[in-house]
Amino acid sequence: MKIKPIHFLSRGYMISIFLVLLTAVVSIVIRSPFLTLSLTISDIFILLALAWDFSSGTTNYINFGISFFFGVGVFATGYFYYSFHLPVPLLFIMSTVFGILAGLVFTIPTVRVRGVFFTLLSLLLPLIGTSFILAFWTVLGMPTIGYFDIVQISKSPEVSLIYVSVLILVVLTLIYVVNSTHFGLVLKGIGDDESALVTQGVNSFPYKVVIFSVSMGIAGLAGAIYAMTTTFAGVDAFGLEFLLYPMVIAILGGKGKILGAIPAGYLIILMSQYLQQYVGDLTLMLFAALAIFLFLFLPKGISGWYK
Amino acid sequence: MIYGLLFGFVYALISAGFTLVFGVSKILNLSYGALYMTTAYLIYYFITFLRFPLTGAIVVSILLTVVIGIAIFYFVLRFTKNANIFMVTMLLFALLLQYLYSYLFGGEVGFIIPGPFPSASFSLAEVSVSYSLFLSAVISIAIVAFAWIWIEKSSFGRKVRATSEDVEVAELLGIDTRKVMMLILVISILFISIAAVLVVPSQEVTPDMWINPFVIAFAVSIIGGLGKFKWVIPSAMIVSFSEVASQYLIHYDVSEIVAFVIVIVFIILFPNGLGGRKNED
Repeated sequence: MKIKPIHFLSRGYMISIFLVLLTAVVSIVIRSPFLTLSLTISDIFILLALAWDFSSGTTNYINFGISFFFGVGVFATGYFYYSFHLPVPLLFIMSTVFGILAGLVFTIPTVRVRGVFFTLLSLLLPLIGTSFILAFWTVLGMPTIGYFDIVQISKSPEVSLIYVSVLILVVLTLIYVVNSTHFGLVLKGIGDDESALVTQGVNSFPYKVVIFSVSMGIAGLAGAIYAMTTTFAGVDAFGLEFLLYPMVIAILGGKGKILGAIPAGYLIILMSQYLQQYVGDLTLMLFAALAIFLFLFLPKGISGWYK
Repeated sequence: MIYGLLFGFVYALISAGFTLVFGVSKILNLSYGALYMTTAYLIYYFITFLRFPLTGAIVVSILLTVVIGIAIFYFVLRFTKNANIFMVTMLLFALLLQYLYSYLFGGEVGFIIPGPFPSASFSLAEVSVSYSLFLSAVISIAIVAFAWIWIEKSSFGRKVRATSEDVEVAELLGIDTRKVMMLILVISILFISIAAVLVVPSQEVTPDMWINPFVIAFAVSIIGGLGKFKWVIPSAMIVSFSEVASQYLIHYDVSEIVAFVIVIVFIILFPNGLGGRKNED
């Protein structure tokens, strides 16, 4: 099989860029704080969905740990802001780096074992995240259980959204390029039939380590954006809704089809933000039900539905 | 030491069902922890709103939990045969239940449900132990031991072991594996439900209470080897002793982290668990 050349002008990629830029423009024109906040939150979840789909969607190693690494990003942001007063760009970098490091620490021992164990262990991570913070919050120099008054990306929410949009475009391009190279091909091979790949003489281990660490770095970056949007880093960052929504988005957008996550993300999160105003806490339950429906009846997402 | 032993027995009961179901069906029932929570909420509901007597509430709640657990399991199994999708969907059901209870009963405040045993304490080897913990441990170990003997000795137990070795061969030998699976599922839900009755009175009923038993069941099952029932008790002991020790030596909240670290260490040392064979995948 020949490696396909990178087409930066491919339709899906152009539409995705257009959508991300459109949201930034719309928020500047309309200037509704609620809409801008909702779009920023959508972007955060889109980043998480990209991270999830990039690693789990292509390799078929289901990773439930994404909300843990998101939390790592959130707390890394809080820690470096509180202890060193780093500026915003460095906070982005540090949380990404810590996401990658945590990803490495987790992935290297666990990804050797086959799928089920990996999935189980990754699910344990967000579940123990809270107790980690409860046990060590004094060591981490937290004023209380969590950091508050974290610096905002920018004083103006619209400008923040522009920064976030740029970050999404960077991540999107990275994933797009990787998927078009030999590396992406190996990842797809792992997803299709890992034993066949190993028989071909490919050592899948380093590929898995790299892909999961980078994905977890992206999740950490999303955590940094979240911490600087809400200006708070608390244990709710390990909440499983940061796993639920990205999975719904990734599945709706089509598993392994990275670009589908962008329209699906705006759709799902904007819908959920507006629903939250009317039905409150019922929203999460409705989306859990939606997720079950999607996984059971439309596992290939909207794109699979059309065909 | 005493606490480690007593908690170890209870942990064995919590984990037994999880590992049994995996042994027979090779499926991870990720809604397992949520069923534990379901029992707790049902008991709370029956006692507070319907004024049931305690025993009645416990019996009805356990039965309802079994029905709910089986309904979820077979609903998902009806629509997918893909192991990954199955696993994700079961976890989503757990989340669905969590959000449902949080919506119905409120998420912030925990409830207390009464326990079946007196809360008074007595002295055991110079350590003060409450009757409820002691009796819970005794009942747990009795149930697990009974299940173990039953699986090792009875003819049904042989069918269970055959099914967990190889489903196709078991079917060729004339074993109705679907029936075996169904029964094992019922037993596993009974286990976790009874564990909830025993353990929950010493905790609060909150929408995220399923996490702790879930972590324990994972840790114990992975250390012992998924689906290896006879390793449940020793690995439950390993988990509970190290948890109790870490709570004394380090900090009360690190116990879950310790369980996790032990699991990682065991995964590296024994990729198939203590009961695993070397040539297994």
